[in-house]
Amino acid sequence: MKLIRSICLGGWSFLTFVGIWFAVGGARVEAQLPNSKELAASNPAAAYNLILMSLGQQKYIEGLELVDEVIRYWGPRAAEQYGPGFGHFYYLKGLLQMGLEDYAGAVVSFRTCREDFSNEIINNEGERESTKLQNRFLTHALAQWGACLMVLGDYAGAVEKLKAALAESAGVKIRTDVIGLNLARSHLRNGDFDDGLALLEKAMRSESLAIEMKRKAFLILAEDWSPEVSFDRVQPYLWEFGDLVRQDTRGNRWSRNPLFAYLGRQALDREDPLRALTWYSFLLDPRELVNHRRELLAEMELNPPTKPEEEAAWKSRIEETRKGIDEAESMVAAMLLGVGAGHYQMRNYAGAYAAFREVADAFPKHEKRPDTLYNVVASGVQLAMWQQAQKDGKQFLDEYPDHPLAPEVARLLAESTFILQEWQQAYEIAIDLRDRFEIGSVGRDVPDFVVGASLYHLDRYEEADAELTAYLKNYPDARRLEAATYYHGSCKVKRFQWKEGVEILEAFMEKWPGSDLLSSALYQSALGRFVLGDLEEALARIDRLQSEFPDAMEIPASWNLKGDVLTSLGTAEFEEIETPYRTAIELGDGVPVHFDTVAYSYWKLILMHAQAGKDEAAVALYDAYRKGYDGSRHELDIVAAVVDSLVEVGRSSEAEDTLRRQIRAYAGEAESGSLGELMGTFLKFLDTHYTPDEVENRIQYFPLPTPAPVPLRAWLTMIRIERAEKGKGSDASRAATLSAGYRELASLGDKREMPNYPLVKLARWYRDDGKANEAREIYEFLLEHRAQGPHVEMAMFDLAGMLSQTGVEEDGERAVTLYRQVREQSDASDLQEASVIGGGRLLFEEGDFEEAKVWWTDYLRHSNWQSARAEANFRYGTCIEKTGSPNEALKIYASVYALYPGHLNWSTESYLGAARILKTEGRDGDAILVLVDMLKRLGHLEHPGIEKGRKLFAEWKEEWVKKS
Amino acid sequence: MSRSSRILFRLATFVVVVATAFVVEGQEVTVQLTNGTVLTVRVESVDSASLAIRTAASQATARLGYDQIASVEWPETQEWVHAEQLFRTGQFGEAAVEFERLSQKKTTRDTFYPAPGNFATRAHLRMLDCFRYQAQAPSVAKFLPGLEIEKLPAAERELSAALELWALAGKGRWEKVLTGADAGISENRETKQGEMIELTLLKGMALEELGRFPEATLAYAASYSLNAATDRQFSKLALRRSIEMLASQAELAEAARDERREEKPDWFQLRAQAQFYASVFGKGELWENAHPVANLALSEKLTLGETALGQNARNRVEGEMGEASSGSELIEQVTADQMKQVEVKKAEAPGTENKDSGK
Repeated sequence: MKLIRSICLGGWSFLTFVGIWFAVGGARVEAQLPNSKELAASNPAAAYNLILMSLGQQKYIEGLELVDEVIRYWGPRAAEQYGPGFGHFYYLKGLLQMGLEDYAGAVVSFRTCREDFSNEIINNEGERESTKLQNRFLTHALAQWGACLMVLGDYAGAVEKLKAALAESAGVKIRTDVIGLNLARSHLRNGDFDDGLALLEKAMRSESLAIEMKRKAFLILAEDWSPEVSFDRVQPYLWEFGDLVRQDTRGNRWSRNPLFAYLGRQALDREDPLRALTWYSFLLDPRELVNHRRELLAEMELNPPTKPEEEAAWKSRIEETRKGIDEAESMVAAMLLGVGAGHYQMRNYAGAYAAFREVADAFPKHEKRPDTLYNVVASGVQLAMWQQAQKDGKQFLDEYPDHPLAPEVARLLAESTFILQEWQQAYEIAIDLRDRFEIGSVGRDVPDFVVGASLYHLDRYEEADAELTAYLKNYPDARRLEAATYYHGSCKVKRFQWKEGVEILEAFMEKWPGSDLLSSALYQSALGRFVLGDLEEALARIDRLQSEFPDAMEIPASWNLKGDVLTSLGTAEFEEIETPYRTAIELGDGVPVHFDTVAYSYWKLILMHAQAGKDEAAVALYDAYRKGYDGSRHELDIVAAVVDSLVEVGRSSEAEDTLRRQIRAYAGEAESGSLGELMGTFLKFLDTHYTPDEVENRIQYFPLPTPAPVPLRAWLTMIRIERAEKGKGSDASRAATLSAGYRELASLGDKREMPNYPLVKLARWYRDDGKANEAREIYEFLLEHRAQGPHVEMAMFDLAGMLSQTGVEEDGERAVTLYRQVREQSDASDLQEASVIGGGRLLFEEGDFEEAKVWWTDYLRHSNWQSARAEANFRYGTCIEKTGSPNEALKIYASVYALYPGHLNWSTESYLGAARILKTEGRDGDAILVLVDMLKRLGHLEHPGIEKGRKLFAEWKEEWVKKS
Repeated sequence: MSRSSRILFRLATFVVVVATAFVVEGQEVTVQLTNGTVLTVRVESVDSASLAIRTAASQATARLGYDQIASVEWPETQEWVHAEQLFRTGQFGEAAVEFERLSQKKTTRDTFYPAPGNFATRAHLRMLDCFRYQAQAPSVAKFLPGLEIEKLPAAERELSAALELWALAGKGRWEKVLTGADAGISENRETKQGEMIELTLLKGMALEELGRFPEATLAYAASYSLNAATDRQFSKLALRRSIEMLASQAELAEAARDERREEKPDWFQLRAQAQFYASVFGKGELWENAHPVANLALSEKLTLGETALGQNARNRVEGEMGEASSGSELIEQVTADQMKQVEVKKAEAPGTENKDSGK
């Protein structure tokens, strides 16, 4: 439009000249009508000037009425009387119509000017006749015609007209630069991008073109060309010509802000943030406008009017300025929101945070405040500014507790930290957040999930299990149902609750066959099946995983698992087992995430080769492992597996040095089991390759680091103690040696520095020596501070034993709990067995036969537990009897004394129990027969139970005789 | 006697003309007095404490002491015009050289020194501005003490808060810079946006020097975000420093990475900033001798994240579970070695055989 106006004005100046000529040339006036317009129309020269004046004063209606009157007045005679020059009135008419935005009408006028008032006049004889008055606006009319078509959206038409105007512009005093820019714009809008661009480039590179026109060319490039092409094509023009618009007056730059703001928004809409931010950088900071208007307001307020009649106008200006400030401030906010969005999508979260934060702080009443605060939180989370993000999130939730976005803010805070794998942070944030919402509500859904899943990743599986169980119960339509189900199953696996884990994971696979987590579920299901002994099922799942998910992350580990399964099957050949492990190495070698998986593969291969006597191969694998994987978490196992092979291939000093080096590396570790494992391996190595005296010597003179760490010294002392326990010599001398050893152990240092196993052994020594308090102190320390460490189950078991002796009810309850923990957590079968015995006995002695029955049932289910089989059966029978099933108990008693006659404690009690039941049922004769059987089989032995049976037999026999 | 003459008569001080006074070739200038009066006078001479002036209406020469003068609008010398042109077109290095030269011409003939508003003193201030715009803090620290504030035009005597902070920065007093920047930002938030951009840059520099890198990143970001990077000096400097800082951190992190076990991190923020700089300020490139890691980031493909809420029709958060949010990428492998109940038993540690089962 500005271009049109400029060409209008340019034409106007020429028109002024022509108008004067008109006045000088004069014309015949035929005054016909009485009104002033008609009067004016009758004098074309005067009318022309009046029309020009109207045009200059932008009184378009007035001017149009007059020009229409002129045209009407002179009618068809006009051309004849005045020649082509009358066409000027049509040109003026067109300009007036343009002023009134009647572009369609203006087109007609310009066409008339051009086509009906051509300077080409051919007379009746076919000869060219010179005209009375040339139409000097033919080219102008054409150019304006093109401009109107452009405004009307007929860009093809505009191109045609504007090109024609340029073509005939030679010798015509017309603004070809303006026509050129209009043509460029029309080309672009017509889709002729190359043609349009060429014209704009020519303009911007011109050495003679006025800078203002170059700026216009740049703006056309920005508005009409740049959105249509990729940004990498646009950028060179911005770099080359951007300063055209940057280096300009403030007033001009402000007037362009809407364009650049629009281009920025458009780019954001098209998800082209770099382009958006680049356009925003062309703005004049709208804060300058805010400040300018504030200064104006201050000045106005300082200078109130002195005359009352000026007050209203002054107040109106004040009001207008205030509105102007609000408007300018809204531009600031809009700019910041755009900038924030651009940086956000480009993942420059610092830039996003700064911008959104500013909107939130400086424009607290902005309509988009909730979205803005959300974005502040989101940016802060991405920047790992946890505390700030929490604070911002709380701000949102405080201000908008019921806003639809509130659950999303909670989700964002909890889940974003989770996605960034900041487990501890995610956990803390989620724990804090969820309290704002009710259990089971939408807002609490994801935070509750994150609590459980974060605990999982923090290896706090028991707590995670509880949380996820609750989550699945409280949210039947949970937003994270799929993931939570997976985590729940995986938790069970991590807790070695294989059966439940497999059940959950296999149900998961069935319910979500397309899940992203399916490969993980499949793998863990295979693992669980393996542990549960379902080897064929495990293999089937591994095969399915490998065929359906060849690129899954679990694939290398699945090959290791396959190797383990084949090993367990016992029927596979050596090479058949070796292949999967080697495949795992091939697939995982050099990939950081598979570092430990490949190390595991090496371990298994080394182990199987060493066990098969293939020492060269074992050592070669070990050397390969050392090159790329030393420091893995399987290092100790690998060292243990390879030492003997190293000796076999003549590298025995290397083997021993390796072990010593590893021991020294772990010498200060009190809490992990690594040092203990190493000591075991070292001792085994020494026993295999040295005489007892040489072993003794190597233990005695082990090269300790300086200063000597307590954990290592404790282990060395422990080894000496246990060798003394097994050693030769009299009981007295052994006791003295042991006592000295334990005293040395106790003197080594604070229990916080000692490894678990020596501590347990020391506690036992204290216990056996009558120092129950000292023993208990150690056990309690281990349970409180090293609950996840090795050998803690031993401490639990020992403490349970002590507590069960006190006779205090709370101690008894705690003892049962401890026995249960040992039962669940220990992987040592004998310790599990002992704990079940301990717990079962305690409950039995307390008279809790229902619960005791569960424990003894558990015992009896394990056919490999034999140390208290007779007792277990007896006690189980008694529990059955006491809980109301005497007939079942009778059978069990009978089986005990039949199967375990030599276990006099239980066989005699079983006899007595059976007899008691029969007597109670009035089957006196049968009761006596049971006692007879007892005395027949066992009567020759001395035992309190037998004595009891003998007395009972005598008593009942007498009764029987009396009755009969 | 005309009014202006009477004023002059009342205000003029009769000072013994110092032998060293120079004639200033009858320059006509506008003088603003401290009482607000503005005069157009012809200067007869300038000395160390006063001007000898004559008005058009009077033939008498009067003396105006500098304590009565707020400022004098001296006609701009060619040297000044040239130096200013360099300054206004952003050629601060060259401008600084010119201003420094001019600031040393402490003669009446060349710069109207020592009169208020003289070009030597103004050049000194401009030179400091040049140093500011190039973040040459040590130079500000060096030259600020020599600035004769009282000889500046009245309107320029209130120095920008940032100038003092640049001087502190030049001396390495970063804690003070930080405190001063924070105070300045609070005060200028509403009114002086241009100054605020400079202050956030200074804040970023202070935080960076104090090793508080994440906060420094944010402060720099304020410097180029709050004004949409429309300031082509301080915003540009801030972005450049942010990029250099991130690049250095990336380099250190890479050196410390165990590439066997850790994947290479994605420095997406560095990439975004480098490409932003190149597009807005660098004409497709970073600056000369930019950190190699920064140049590498520039050459990489920009990776976009999700759109911000409220922009381009993103008006709700889907919050649906994706691979990342489900944790599927994050699930650790539970491998066979973590199991306790395995077929192949490890060799047991001494004493782990539990002979003490039961009582």
